[in-house]
Amino acid sequence: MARSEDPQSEWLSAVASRRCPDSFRRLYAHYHPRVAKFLRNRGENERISEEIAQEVMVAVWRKAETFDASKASASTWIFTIARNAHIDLIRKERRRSVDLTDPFFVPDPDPAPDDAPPAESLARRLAAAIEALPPDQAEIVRLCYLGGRRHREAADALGLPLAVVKYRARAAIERLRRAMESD
Amino acid sequence: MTSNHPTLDWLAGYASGTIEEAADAVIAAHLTLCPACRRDVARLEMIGGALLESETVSTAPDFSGAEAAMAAAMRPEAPAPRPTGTLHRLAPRPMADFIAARTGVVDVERLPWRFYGPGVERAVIETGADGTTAQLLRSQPGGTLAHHGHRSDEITYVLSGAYEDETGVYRTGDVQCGDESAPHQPVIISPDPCIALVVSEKPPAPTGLAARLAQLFLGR
Repeated sequence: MARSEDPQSEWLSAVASRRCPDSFRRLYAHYHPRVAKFLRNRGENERISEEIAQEVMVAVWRKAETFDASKASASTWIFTIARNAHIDLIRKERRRSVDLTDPFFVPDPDPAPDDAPPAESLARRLAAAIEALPPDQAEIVRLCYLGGRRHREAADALGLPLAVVKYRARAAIERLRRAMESD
Repeated sequence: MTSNHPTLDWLAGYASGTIEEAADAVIAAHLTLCPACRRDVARLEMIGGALLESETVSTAPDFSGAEAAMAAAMRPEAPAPRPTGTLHRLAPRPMADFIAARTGVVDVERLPWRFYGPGVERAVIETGADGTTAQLLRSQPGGTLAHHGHRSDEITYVLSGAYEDETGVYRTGDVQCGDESAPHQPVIISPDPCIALVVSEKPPAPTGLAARLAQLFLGR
């Protein structure tokens, strides 16, 4: 296994490849409180947040084999599980996402473009770019990604016109995307 | 290969989990067909991962639920049944599942099609409490889709066939996002009927005569 500087992804890879319980315990201690906070941020009460966070960690143990360290970091992979778990809760049914066994599924071009930088260096650059965001843009990105607020809800919460929120959100996302694409 | 893609705003909404269920189905259907947009969404999801990682939490590590989580995961999850119906032969699974769940119908012909102007039928899929509507429009070759404006909160997915308007050509799997421009008059250019799902936060305001007449007769 390639040496990674991101311990969380290393733990998750160890769970994926050999069901390592110690690595899972570390992942649990690291992510369970973060996922519970994520759910509280999305408006859920303490009890529900704890319950869903537990479900997310069950899914982490159960689905670890599908984690690919070359494609995503542990935090991104767990973010998507937590996001979907919260959507399932609100909609009272499973979020309909891309199904890899769908006869319509068009696979990635093969071989995958090798200009893509490794997931880990992307994550580092992205973290730096988030730090460098102007505070008014960072606020909106956090409200949407962590708080789950739609643009209109963010506008209401901040007392700003919708157009301003949309503009700042787009400016922020484009900045972050550029940071991930530059060499 | 699809050539008209959702805007960055819509993809970010999908990645952050902050768009309506019907719009989610549109994006997921397009992603099924479009590796380029899947790559974009993977990058947008990294923003969520980075923010989750940067959350500050109480410092004392708590392992107490870890054993319970590993034990719970031993119970196998029932696989979802494979649906069979013409709907699932027409569109990617997230779209077909969404329509089937809302209408209780798995065959295209049994959808609640209603007259919506000459050569145009409409099936209302969902009218959400929050004002979101999702409707299927089916139009015969050479005809037009109902003449309607495209607001920025509207998104259209082409399930089959193709249409053309002032902004371009939209084929199966393509997505058209509203752009606040003048009302469009889409013309069907495929040899087969064109079926599209239109999702909007409020019902689109029809401006064409046929659509107005349909509204008058049907009281919609």
